Amino acid sequence: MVEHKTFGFRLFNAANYALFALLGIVCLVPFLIVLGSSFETEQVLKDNGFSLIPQQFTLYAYSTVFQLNTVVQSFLVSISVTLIGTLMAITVTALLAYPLAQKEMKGRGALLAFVLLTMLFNGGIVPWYILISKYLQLKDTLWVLILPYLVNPFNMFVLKSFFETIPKEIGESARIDGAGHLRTFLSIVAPLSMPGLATISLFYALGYWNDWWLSLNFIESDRLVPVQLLLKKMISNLTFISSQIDTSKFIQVPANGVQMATTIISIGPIIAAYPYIQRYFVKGLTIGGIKG
Amino acid sequence: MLKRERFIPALTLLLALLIALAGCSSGGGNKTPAASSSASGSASSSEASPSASTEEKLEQVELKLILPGDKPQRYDEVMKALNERLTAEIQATLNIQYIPWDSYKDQILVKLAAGENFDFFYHGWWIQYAQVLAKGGAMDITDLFPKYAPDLYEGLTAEYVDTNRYQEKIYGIPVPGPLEYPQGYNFRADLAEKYGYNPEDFQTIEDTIEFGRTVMAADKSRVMGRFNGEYSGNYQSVAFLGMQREYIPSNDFNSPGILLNNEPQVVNQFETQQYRDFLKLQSQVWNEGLVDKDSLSSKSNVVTDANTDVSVIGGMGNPPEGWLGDRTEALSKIEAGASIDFVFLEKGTKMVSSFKAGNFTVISPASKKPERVLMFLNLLYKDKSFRDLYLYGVEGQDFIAIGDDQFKYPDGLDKTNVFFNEWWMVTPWSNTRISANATETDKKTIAFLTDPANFEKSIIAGFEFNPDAVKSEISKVSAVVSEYRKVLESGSGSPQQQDAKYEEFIDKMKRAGVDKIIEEKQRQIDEFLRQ
Repeated sequence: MVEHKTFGFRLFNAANYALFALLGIVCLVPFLIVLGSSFETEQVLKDNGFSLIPQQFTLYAYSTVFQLNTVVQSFLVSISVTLIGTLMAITVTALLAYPLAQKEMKGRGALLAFVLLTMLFNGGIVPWYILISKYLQLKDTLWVLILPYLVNPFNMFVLKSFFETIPKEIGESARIDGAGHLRTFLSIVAPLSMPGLATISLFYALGYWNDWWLSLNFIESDRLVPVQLLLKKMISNLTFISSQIDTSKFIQVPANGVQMATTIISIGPIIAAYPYIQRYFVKGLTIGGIKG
Repeated sequence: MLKRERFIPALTLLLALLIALAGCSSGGGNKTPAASSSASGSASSSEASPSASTEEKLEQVELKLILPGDKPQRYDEVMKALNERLTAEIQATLNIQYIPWDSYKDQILVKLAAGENFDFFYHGWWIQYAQVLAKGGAMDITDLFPKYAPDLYEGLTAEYVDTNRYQEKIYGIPVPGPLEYPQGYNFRADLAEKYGYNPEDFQTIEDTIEFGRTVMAADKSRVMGRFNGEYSGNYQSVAFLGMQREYIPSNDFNSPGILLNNEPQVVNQFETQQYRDFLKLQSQVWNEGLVDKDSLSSKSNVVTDANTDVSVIGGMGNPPEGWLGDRTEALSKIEAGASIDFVFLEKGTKMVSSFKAGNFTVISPASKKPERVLMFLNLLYKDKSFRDLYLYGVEGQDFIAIGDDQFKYPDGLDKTNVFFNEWWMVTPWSNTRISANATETDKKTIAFLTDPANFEKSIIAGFEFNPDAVKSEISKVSAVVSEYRKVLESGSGSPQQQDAKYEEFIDKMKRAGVDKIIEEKQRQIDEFLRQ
């Protein structure tokens, strides 16, 4: 423990802090510029470009976005899809990953291959579209925003690997005490796998929150349009038009400030989820779980 | 871990089935999205009741229309009024689904391939209408059209409809608009006046640059122009100014291989001297500081700039179609006294035209009521008050009619908070209103753009390029083209850097197989001309 006092170690420590502080700033500054610019007036943005601190503070961009009368409804849709979707997805994924992590299970190889196959091949967009809209009749329902993403094979494999790192003996000791598979999973494996489950939940939550593809394809009514699609529509319609034809007979345009504001609005809620999930990113819970 | 192993596979299997749903489909062949829709045949089946007279009571139906864009404001209120009218006239209601612009092209193809149930939609050559036709995504209405939409058919004239046939049949209903877009100079008229310029002084590109220099020398807050990398038409306005030019497919400025001066010789426009000269010019104005250097990275677009940017002195582009007055109004709110005008820079050149429509209203092959769609379009064509309702909303609330062919917004309202639909997706231009703000220049250019006498018939009128043989080359080349054009055409960097970049561009394009595309275009044109 003497090394802590040496000059070299202190230097190393200081350098470490400096480096990571720098990295942190590099990540943070662009975000702050977006935040700052979203409060800036359009004319200043045009003349001086983006800046950290707005010269003329205004809420105009935000009021423009919230003028869209469906924006509150869209937030509700996004939030419910993210909550329900993440809960369901994590349950289903864990229930698939756990048995597949049991090496003695019959038919494990075939099932693994089947799961893997969906990562490598798919039927293409048209059959997928037909399946969901024609056969499953999910079009224009809330479920269409949730069900297609319930199991992501990649996440499943991550979770399976995580389950495999939990020593077999822990499960066996539970069995000896009379627990069945389900009980073992719920009472022993799941609590021990919190870091893994939390990570995967975050992936799913982000996936659901950021998704506009499903709603673009399958949602027609305004009531079910999630935030991402709403904002995407707003911005993409205009940039696309102008890239193709030079004419101003088209509608007005989301000014730069509005784009910044939409960025802030759309990442807001999900960024709030990070601190809560972060505390699960603790490693080594299982260390020392087995003795002797 | 002994006895219970059996339930796990069963459970797992169930879960695995869920994945199948998630991962699109069970796998295997991923190559057959073939359009399931059969275009032919549906015409005759739906025609079973041959009573063309609308006198007898029809059964109430809903017509579903798909359009690109964003749902307009006050959609529900206006559609309610519109559907009341529509029910009274043809026992139908209309339901419009709007799909964002940048996904529209693909979404329509998916919906058509999936045989989804919708009645009609907008399409145009510039979003590859040819693809829709080739995949059987349009209903053959050769017999139905004159019968159920007689006024529209006569209004368009049989001759015009025939020009727009595809493989001898009528599919989409053509929407006549501007024939072609001769280029010109949009400029700040108030600045021109202040610095002693008349519109007649602008005859060449050089004149416009000189104007920019003069203004910038006197007023540091101005820029001569703003390069817009988001707009794909930059070079075409300038490089071939004063030459007849024909893009294949039309309006696709990224596809190498065009005709110049109406001669049947396909050239790669990016290899021409004109394009090189254009790049030199761009480099010159960039390095002289005449162009706003931020604009290379700016994501703002032509429309934003046009309506909000008071620092720019002018720019090359399409002629105004009635919006000069609106633009002047928008700008003068930011800078008092600002006004915009336009001059043609290609007066001596007659643009070539195929005299074909660029936009079409297309009936979906899956539609069960094509007659009713045609009746709707017919009503839209012949009934002015119904058309006003569809295009501009409720009179007094969304617009105020001025005379027969102009309109303005009610006090305190503007385009952003009233209802409107685009005319060019459904009904001829001649049938619409223009802004009451439109200037004399607007009216002159509109008259010019719609008069066939101002255009010369293209030698390849009626030709459609079929890209199938060179599909992979096209996708490779277009990736190269869009990668390089923006940087090259901005004129940024030193002239030497630009030259080096240009060599690289040509070289990469060659390796991606551009010559094969040119050859294929030439081959198809030769074959077309032989017939």
